[in-house]
Amino acid sequence: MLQLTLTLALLLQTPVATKATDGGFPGLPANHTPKVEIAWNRLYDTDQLYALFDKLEAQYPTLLKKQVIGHSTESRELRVYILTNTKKGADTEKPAMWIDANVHGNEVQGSEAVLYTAWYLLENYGHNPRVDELVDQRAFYLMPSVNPDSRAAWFRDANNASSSRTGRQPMDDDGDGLFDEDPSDDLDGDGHIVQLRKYTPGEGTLRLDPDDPRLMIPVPQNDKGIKGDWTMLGQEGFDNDGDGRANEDGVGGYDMNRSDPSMWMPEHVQGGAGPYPLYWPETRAIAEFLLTKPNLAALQSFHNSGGMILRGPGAEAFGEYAREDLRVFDELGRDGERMLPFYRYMIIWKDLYSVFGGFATWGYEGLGVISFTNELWNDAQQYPDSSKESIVPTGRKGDHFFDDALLMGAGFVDWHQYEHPLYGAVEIGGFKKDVGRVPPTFLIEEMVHRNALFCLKHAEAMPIVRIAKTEVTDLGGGVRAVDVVFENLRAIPTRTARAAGSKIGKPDLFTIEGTGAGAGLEVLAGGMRTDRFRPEVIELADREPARLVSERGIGGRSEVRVRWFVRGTGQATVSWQGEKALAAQATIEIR
Amino acid sequence: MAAFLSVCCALASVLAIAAQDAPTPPAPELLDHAALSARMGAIAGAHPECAALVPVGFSRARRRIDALRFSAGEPAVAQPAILVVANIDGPQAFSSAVALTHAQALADGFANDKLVQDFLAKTTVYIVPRANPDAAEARFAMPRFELEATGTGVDNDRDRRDGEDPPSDVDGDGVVAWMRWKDPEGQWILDPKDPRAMLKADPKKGQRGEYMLALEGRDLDRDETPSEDGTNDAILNQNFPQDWQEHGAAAGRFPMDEPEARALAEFMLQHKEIAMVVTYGALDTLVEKPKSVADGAAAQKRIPAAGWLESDAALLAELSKRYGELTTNKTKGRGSDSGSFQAWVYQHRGLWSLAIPLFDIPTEAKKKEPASGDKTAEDNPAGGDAAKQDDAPKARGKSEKKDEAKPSEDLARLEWIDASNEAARFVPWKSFAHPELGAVEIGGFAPFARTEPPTADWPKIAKRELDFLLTLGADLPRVSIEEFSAKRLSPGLIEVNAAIYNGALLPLASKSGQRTESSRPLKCVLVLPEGASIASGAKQTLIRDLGGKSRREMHWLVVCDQPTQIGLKLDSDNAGAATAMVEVK
Repeated sequence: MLQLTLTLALLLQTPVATKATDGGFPGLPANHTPKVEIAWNRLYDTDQLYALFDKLEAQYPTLLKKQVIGHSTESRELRVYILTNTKKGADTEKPAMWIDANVHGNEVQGSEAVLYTAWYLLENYGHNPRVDELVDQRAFYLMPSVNPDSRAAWFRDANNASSSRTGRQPMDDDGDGLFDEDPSDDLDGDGHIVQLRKYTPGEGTLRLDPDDPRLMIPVPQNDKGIKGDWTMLGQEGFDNDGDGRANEDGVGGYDMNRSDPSMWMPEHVQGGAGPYPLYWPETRAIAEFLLTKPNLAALQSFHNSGGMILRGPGAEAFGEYAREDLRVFDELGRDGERMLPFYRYMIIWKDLYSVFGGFATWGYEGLGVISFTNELWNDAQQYPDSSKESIVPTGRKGDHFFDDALLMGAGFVDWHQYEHPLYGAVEIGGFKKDVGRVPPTFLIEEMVHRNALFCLKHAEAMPIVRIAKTEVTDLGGGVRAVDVVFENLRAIPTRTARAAGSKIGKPDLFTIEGTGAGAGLEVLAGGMRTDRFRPEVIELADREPARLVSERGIGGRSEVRVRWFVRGTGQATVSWQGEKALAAQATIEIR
Repeated sequence: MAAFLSVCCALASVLAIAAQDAPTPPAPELLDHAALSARMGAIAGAHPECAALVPVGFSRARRRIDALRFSAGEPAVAQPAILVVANIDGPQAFSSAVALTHAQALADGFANDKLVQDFLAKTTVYIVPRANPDAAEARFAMPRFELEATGTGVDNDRDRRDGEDPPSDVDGDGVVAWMRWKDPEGQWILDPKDPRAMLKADPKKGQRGEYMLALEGRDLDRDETPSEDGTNDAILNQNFPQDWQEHGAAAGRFPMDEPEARALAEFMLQHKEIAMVVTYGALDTLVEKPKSVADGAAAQKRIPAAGWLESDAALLAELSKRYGELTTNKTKGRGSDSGSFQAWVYQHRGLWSLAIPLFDIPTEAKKKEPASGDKTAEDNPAGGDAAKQDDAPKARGKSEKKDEAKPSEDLARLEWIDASNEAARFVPWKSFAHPELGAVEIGGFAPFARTEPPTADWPKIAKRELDFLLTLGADLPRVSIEEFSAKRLSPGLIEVNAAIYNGALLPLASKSGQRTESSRPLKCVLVLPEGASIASGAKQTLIRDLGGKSRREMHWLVVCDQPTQIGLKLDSDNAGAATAMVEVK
């Protein structure tokens, strides 16, 4: 009987299994069934997020591996998932891309983008040659949540779209010797921190919008004596510590994206920076991890919101980035603008605001790696059809129309009465935390897919070095010239100009060595040719010609031509070694 | 209506007392880590009434770093503290010896010395004699070498090999000194006035360089540059965040990466009662006026101008003047303060940072001085506005330093050495057949020649620094309630008046401290009984801006129709605490 049931069950399943003949899930909707089903129309709290990663790890144990790099303030695991095909070499041997999200606890959806990146690569591995290259020859360090405490709190507690941004270490924001004693309060206990408004007839600055009393309109400032009837009283809460101010010392009160070493500035210059760089356990764990990963060659740090592809500098005082590196930033940034509608490629200090000690700027300025910060979600995505501009409501009216029409009004807490201990009769109302900075359910999948694929484009740009050409020329007198062309096929150089200029990491190494019958090969001189038509134009090394060290490395989609002068014949191995690409090696016959 | 005033701390003319009655500390001794730790433990163990051992942290090599805390019993809440830190610079082991004599003098003096008793009754002192035990330990090892860097390795010569060519004692004489050798590309010549000293060739004077100059060492990587890639590179006192030199050879991977730096920083954060930091080492803020900027100096591209804010500098000048009078120390500081603890203390923590260099070979010696070991820097004329740069070749582990030499100063140092019978401070140049470089001469200034004064001067230096330290307690801001009164205006209404006073030289917070807000402001809270309420005024006032010898008045109207008691409570991080109570009929 049991036997029969099993057979039946198998029979029932079979049609589904055989239909998915194409395998993988490359964004094509027909005939593909992922091995791990994840709903991409919702957001996950810390535990759920970690559980989904664990599920992926269980399904793909040779491709995904969890590493706990430290613990958060509230003792949660700080998890990095290492994605690479370990059967084709350890992650540390391959160029790697770091992708993190959610350093600001409220900026949640980047985590789903990191999850999607992992899921996309894993599900498509073995079904798509470009994905295979990424999984076999590159590694990904995926940190789904830099700030798992505040992520958990954002989902769990009453919040708004901007609260729970900080970490959870108690701070005395108002200098009264007490810690976190005056946060916002969910006065009506409905699970939302929204706004307070009060009816103050003839004494206010606002009046209700006659078309929509949920909205308020500022009363014009002129001499006509018009007064408003309403006053805004700020965020839901009261003066818990009785110091005359409300909501001025909430949980934490710092910014872990102002904590990194490059262009770090203390609190009085950069609010939220903390007492010294990498002070918070989360930030320090990440720095310690990355500083042991010289193979790091690309970096993305997801935030929300505004629709931006940000690069540094974060501070004007840094100056501009090196021209050679800007070519790479610009190429990827422009491609990103095409892939990510409503996102603009921007310079942090110039186009947004000054950020001292930001993480992605440390990625470039400190680690010498091409680094971006994507700000996920732009309100304009509510109304993507620009031809309808004339009929689309804007501002808060636009938010309400969208909420009413497409979310059945679920995103708004309607104004309702409350008796406040200080202000008396007030109204509480406003948009909920998951409106404004995160997309609605039905736009999440598009957001995570486009951003994940932007990361994969960035990862594909990490250098791939090959030996394009070798040639031996007999110069007479027993001396031969060995010419080797080393080529970097991708956009990111093996050594960014920043890395070369600031001597970050190890320089590249170009070697020649006689092997086998050629073991007695004598390397007389060697160096980089700088003129392809004039072989005598060559930067000869001062010493150790068989071991050429190059700070500049191989540029993006460029080549380095090395010429060695040797005496002897036989086999020789020429090679390139660097930190940011798989080593390249070739054996040549010198005759 | 009786007003109970809290005790006002008016220390009478401490300066005069200090000069007369300050105890004489024991003679400084150079102790290795084990002996120093034992001595610190012994002091704490023998004097539980005033001394306690407080852990600071561990060095990279897991040596313990401790502070000795001195106070009359358990210190009162928010009692201001002075932190004394020595030997943060590796070669300055002598500074730890001096700091330890302070500890011994405070411990001994607490029993019977009035000045010490008065001092510790109102001021806590933390002494960290050795902030950099790993580097300091090299002082007690052979060969002798001024080890400065202890942090993780850097590939200084960029040859993809880490630490393959360190300085070493090539000639086996027990000293890592200097090497000079003839080379057509050399940039140095012998000083015609004294061929022991080296001069940078000046093409404008028709000079062509003849010599190379480098730290003593092999050329193990055979790149024709000896001793250019040692195993340790980060220098502790370049690893703090103020003006940290990212990617600098000795700055470390990131600020506070060095365990000693982080330990000291965390100690400061945990001990917010620290109001002033005194350091003994290479840097100076007290002998010569540090760079200062206007209080309201505009930030450049949002980065504040670096330097002491004018009004803080003016107060520092007062302390500096007193220091000069009490100690006559004229030693100039050496090196840049970028990434230093001292700069971090002032610029980021907003605290008074008194950096004192205890000794250097004077370069402006009077020629007439007899050849006696008694003569030290303090007998030399003031350094005036001489450039505060480190000029002479010295053991930094980085070859480019040799380019900075200003030979006239070396010559002056040699003159002082000759005149003072301190021949051991200079290793006579001796020919040597170097395994890689061929014929070289090995010699030059000996390790620690410029950090350790003649032994005969040690007790004097310990005494003069203690004299000064003991004057500083009275300068620290302490708030008191100078007036607290209440008057019934009508049956229901009470007027309350208070005045708080800072009787010290220094303000409640330095200008820098007001800017950084690293210390908590003074909190003044009016304490009312049940049934009373404030009709006018704030229940709580936070104050940062209260100058030295300054008073602040506060007024309230309180509604209460019963006889009652009204209180005032002051508390702070590092400027004391006070309470007062007034009864209203």
